[in-house]
This record gives sequence, C-alpha cells and structure tokens, in this order.
Amino acid sequence: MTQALIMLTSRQLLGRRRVFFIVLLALLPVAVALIYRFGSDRLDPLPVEFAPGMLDALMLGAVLPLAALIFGTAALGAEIEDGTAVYLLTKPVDRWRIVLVKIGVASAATIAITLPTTIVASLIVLSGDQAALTLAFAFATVVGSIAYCGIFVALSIKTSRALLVGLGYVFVWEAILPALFAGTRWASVHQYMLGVADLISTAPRFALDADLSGVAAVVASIVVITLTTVVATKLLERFEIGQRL
Amino acid sequence: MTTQPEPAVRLLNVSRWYKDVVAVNDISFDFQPGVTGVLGPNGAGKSTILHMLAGFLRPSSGEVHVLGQPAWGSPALFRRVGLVPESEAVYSFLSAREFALASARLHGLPNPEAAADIAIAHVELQADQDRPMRGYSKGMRQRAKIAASLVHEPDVLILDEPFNGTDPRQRLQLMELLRRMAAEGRTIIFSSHILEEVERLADEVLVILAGRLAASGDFHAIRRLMTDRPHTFNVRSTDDRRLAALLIRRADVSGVTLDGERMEVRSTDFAAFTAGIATAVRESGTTLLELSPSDESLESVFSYLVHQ
Repeated sequence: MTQALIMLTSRQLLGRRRVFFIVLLALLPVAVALIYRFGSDRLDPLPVEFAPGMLDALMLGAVLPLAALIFGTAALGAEIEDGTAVYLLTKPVDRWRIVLVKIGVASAATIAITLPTTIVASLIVLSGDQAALTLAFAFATVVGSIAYCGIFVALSIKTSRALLVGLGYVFVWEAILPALFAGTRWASVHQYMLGVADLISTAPRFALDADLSGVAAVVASIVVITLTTVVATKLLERFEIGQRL
Repeated sequence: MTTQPEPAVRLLNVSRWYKDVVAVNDISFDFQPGVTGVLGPNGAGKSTILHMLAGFLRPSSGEVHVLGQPAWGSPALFRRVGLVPESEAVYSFLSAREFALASARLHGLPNPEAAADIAIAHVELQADQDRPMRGYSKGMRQRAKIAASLVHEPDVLILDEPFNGTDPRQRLQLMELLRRMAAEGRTIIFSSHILEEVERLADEVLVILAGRLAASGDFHAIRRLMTDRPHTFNVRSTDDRRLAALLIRRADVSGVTLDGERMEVRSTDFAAFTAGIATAVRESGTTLLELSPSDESLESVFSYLVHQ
C-alpha cells in the first residue's frame, strides 16, 4: 500500500521539467562558490567568513525553500488541482499515511537535490577544511527540507494558492519579519536551520546569525513537523470534492 | 410480517448547499441492489448526489448511509465501494495496467497482479494495457478508470456519466458489464443526462431537476409518464388550414393552433400521431413541408414530470 503511494507520488512529482528547474536553481551556490574560489587571486573575505554567509543567504534562504515549495505544494496539490487525487482518496488508506508519504517523498526529493549542492559548495569555498561547518549546513538542509515540505504539503490541501502563500512566507515572513519582531523567529524554519547549524558547527554563533539556540531550534523543528503532519491529516480527512476537485 | 431488508445505500432528507446556492434539495431515496440511474440535465445536482454517496461531500442536512455506515468520514467504506468520477483526469504517465495495479495495491488486495488483470479484461483493454494513458482516447481513459474502480470487486459501484466519450460498441460492452455486476447482487448507481442510456440499463431511476427529486422508482412507469405526455409539433404544409381541419378530427390530436405562417399541433400519443400524419396529409391533398417536435428537449420532459 505504502509502496504504491510512494510510486505514484514519485512519478507524479519528478517530472523532467520540474526537476531540471530545481537542479539548475540548486547549482547557483556551487557557481557562486566557484567564482569566489577561482574568480580572483586574493580571497576576501576569508573562506570561514564567506561560507556561512553564502550558504545561509543562498542555500538556506532561497534555493532550499524554493525547492521545498515546488516539491511540497506539488506532492499532493498537483493531484488535487488536476483531479487525480480522487483516485487516491477513494481508497481505504488512512489519511495520515497519505500525508506522511507526501511529506516524505517531497522532503526526499528536496534533500536529494539540495544536500549534495550544499556540501559541494561548502567544500569548494572551504577547500575541504572546517568539516564541522559543512556538516552543520548539511544537517540544517535535511531538517529544513522536512519542515518546509510539511508546511507546504499542508498548505496545498488548504488552498489552491499554496505557491503564492508559500512565496510570501519565505520572502516576506522569514526574510523580513524576524529582523523587526524577535518573536517571529519561533515561526521561521530558516531560523530553525540556523539554530541546528549552530548546534553542530564549531564556528562562532554570530557567524551563523542564529537567533535560536540549537536545542530550541531542534525542538521547534520537531514541533513544526509533527504539527503540520497532524494539521494536513485533519485537512485531508475533511477534504470535500467540491472544494477543489 | 416481513421486514424490509436494509437498503445498500440510503439518502434521507438530504440537502446540500454552497453558500446561497442549493445544489440538492431534500432528497430521500433507497438504492437497492441492481442498476439505478440518476437522470437529469447538466447542472441538475447529479454529481453532487453521487459525491455525497461516495463520502466526498458532507450533506448540509440529512443523512447518507452506505452499507449501513455514514458515507461521510468513513474511508474504510472504500473497501466495498468504487467510484468512477466524471473528470477525465487520469495519471497520464501510467499505463492502464499500472493504474489498475496501483489501485489494487492501494486497496491492499492479496494478489494485486491478478486483480488488475481481471479488471483490465472486464473492460477489454488488454491490447493497450501497457501504453501510457496520455495517448489514450477519451473512451479508453473511461474504461481504464472503470477498471481501476472495480479492481476490488466492490459491492457498491458509483459511476458519474460513465458513457461519456465511449463509442457505441464500448457503450454496449460497458452496459453488459454493469448488468452482469448487478446480476451478482451488487448495487450499481450511475448518472446520465441521456434518457436512452438510462432506459437501456437501469431498473430504477431517480429523476433530478434543479436539485429536487422530480420522479423516482421503476423506470418503465416513469417512461410511460414521459411518452404519454402531450407532445407538440411544428407543422408546415402547402395548405395549413385544410390540413388543420383534418388533423383536429383525429383521436390522437388534442389541439391545433394556427398562427399566421405557423401551425402547432398537440398530440396525446407520439407514436400514433407520427404514424398517422402521412394519411392525413394524403387525405387533405396537401404537401407536407415541415414536421418537427418542438418540445423534445430533456428539460421539457423533466419539467412535465415535475408537474405530474
């Protein structure tokens, strides 16, 4: 049952055009790393200062949330929009199982593309040194992918404008509000990722610009992933065909 | 005293509205094993009824029970219920066999491969079963959807406009399949806006008009009501007055209206009038230029039923 769910979701999700676009996007930090490393003779700022800023701004702040947004909203949202979700919902499959598979496959796809590019970009900038920093961003990428996909899958059940709302969350809520209102850091996956990276990295905390402590970020990530799974399940249980199908 | 068996599907004072729009208005009906047709013009509320039966829509008021359980919020019911939606959408990247196989696996069947093969054979799609459905015709997609919906041999099968896009041969073959399933004691409920489809397949019928139940019960009794109603024909001949004088004497003609260039004839017996008008024309010595029924739309048939 779960295997069939995974097969349907993967084949639906991993369309050639969608994957090509996200891979292209994910290569951006690698390109920037290459330009930094080989673009001039003198490295300014120092690699240990440049790597956290670049990976934070480009990977955690833009590429990863965009990839998660595209995969997360499409994992179930695309089926709801094109009407094929009816074949899934007319099966005696627990709704929580559907939600878990959708979040799982979307997260796996996001991780499969963003994790290697995070590691490669980090290794290029740091020339293989500072392994803890590379590891920290790798972990942050995994945690962030799952948390974002949970949010975006739930959002795609709730609204047909999930992509638009998701963009607002990433580029308005997360990018602007934590700087203005300290409380919003608790509702920012970006801040969770920085907190997780801070927990693993040996770099000074200010270098990562983390507003949450590592433990708080891990707890908040677990809460968000659990909460979005529960909310998405409830939304799917109450989903009416006339709503969108 | 014998007790009535519990109906397979029951609608009890069911209404459904979307904000201010009433889509279904206070409908009660018991669906028994066999084939029941839900007949009505487009937009009458047929799909809303079927979606409530399938547990995909919550009734705004009233109750919908399927196999003794509330239809809404009971996904476990899908072990015994199948739904063929009206939408043409299918997983276009899958072949019909992969679609049926995925369906069988999602149902948790013990031998999904065999179940998929049987379902594909039922709809006679073996020759094209391994091609991706994106290349299928509308009729082939329809058959693939039906195969996927009956892979678990449901006790209740709900089909929304199942004959859309099928050619006459496929239609006959699908009708035969549904009849066979009904003969096995299953409850088959299908919607259609085409009277002849319902006539050829359904034992019982629900006629829906503007969200209300216009008529229900044995199809043949309702069909009689439909054929016995007055029919109106537009007639034009080389001498309308002479022809009108002859027609008004006929037993099957209840009235004739002459209005300038136009003659309207009302008949109480469709078959007798259409068979006898040639004689009347010959006797009157005129030539018939036009004979057309003026009220044969499904809407007018349904409107007539509502007023009965």
